[in-house]
Amino acid sequence: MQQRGFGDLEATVMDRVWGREHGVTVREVFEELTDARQIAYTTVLSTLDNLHRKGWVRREREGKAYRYWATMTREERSANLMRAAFEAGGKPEAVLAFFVEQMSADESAQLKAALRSSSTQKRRQ
Amino acid sequence: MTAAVYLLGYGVLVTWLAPPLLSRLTQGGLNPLLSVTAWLTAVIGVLVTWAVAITLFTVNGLRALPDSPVLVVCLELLGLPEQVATPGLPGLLFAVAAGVIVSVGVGLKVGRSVLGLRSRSHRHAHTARLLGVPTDRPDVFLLDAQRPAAYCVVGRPNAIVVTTAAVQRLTGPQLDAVLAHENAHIAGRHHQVLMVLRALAATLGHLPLFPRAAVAVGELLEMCADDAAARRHGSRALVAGMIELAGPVQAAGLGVGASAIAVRANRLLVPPRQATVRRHRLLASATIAATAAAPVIINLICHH
Repeated sequence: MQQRGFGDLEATVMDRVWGREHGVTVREVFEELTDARQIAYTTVLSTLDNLHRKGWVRREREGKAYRYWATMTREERSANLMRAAFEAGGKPEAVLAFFVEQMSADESAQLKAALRSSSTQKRRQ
Repeated sequence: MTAAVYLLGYGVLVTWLAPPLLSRLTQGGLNPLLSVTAWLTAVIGVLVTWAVAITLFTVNGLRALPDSPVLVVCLELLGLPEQVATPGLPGLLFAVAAGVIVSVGVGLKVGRSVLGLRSRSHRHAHTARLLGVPTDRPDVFLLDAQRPAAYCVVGRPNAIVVTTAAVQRLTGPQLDAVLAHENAHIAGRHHQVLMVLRALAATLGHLPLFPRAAVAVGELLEMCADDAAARRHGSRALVAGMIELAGPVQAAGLGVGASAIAVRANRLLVPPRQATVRRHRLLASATIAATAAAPVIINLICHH
C-alpha cells in the first residue's frame, strides 16, 4: 500500500474522519497528521471545510471549534459509487467503460476453449 | 454561393452514406486506430463543411446588403474564399439567419453536454480516489465490491478503479494486462474523444452519422487499448483477464451470438494475415483521404 500523495489530502483526512466513531476536530486531525508530514493547521481546516461543502462530512459547533462526522460510512459510499458505475456501464451517457461487460456462460466457455486451443497451437509450432 | 451548395451536398452525402460504408470497413477490428481516424474524419468533415457553408451563405447574404466591406475583410483574413455577390432576397436572408441560429444552438448544446459529461467524470474520479485504497501503481485504486470489474475515469487527477473481486480473480500477469489496457485509454485520451462524440450523438441523434460514430469509435478504442496491452503483456494474458472479469453470469437477456468481448478476444487470439491487414490499411487510408479531400476540391473548383 502506498502513502497518499499531497493531492489526496482530502482522502487522508476522510480516512481519519471514518476512523473515529465520535467525530474529529481540526486540532485532532492536525495533530495526527503532523507526525507523518509537514502540514499547516489552516490546511487541515480548509480541507475539512471543503469536505463539508461537498457533503462528505457534517459538523456541529463544540465550544470555539467544530466537530466533524462522516455523513455516510465508507462502505455506504463505496456501494453507492459502484452502483452508479454498474448502472451507467454501457449506457451512452456513461463517462466510463468497463474493461469488459459481462457475458453468458456459453460464451465464456467458448472463449476458454479458444484460449486453450491457441495455446496448444503455440506449443506445436 | 455554388461552393456553399456543393459543400452542403457533401455534408448530406457523408451524413447518410458514411455510416453503412464505414461500418463495413471498420467492423472487423483491423487497424483500429486507422478505423477511428476514418470515422473522425467523416464527423469533422461534416461539421467543418456545415460551418463553412453557413459562413459562405452569411457572407453572400450580408454582401447583398448595401456595402459591408468590413465583414468581407474579416472573412478573408480567416482564409475563406471570396465569393461572387448574389442578389439578396428576403427569403435568402431569412434562411441564412435560421441556419446561423440553428448552428449556434447546436454548438451550445453540444458544448453544454460535453461539460456535463466532463464534470460527472471528474466527480466520479474524485470520489473513487477518496474511497479507494491507493495501490503502488499510479492512479490505481482498489474498491471493495463483490462484482469483478476494472475501469478508468478521467478527472483531475484520473482514477483507474479495480474492485477487490477483480484482484482476487486475476493472476499477476493478467492484472498487468488489464491495467495496461486502462492506461492506454488514459494515455490515448479516449474518454475525451468519446465524450465529444456522445455529446454530438445526443444532440444530433436523428442524423445517422453521429450516433453510429459514437458506438463504432467506442468499440474500436477498446481494440486500440487491447492492442497496446497485448503488445506489452501478451494477448493470452489479456484474453484470460477478459474471461475472468466478464463472468460468466447466469443472467437472461444477454444476446446470443458474437458479443463485443468475443470479437475482441478472437482478433487477439487469431491474428489476421499480414496481407489482409495491409489491404485494409490501404483501403482505410484511401477512404480517409477521399473524405478529407472532397470538400477542399469542391472549394477549389468552385472558386476558379
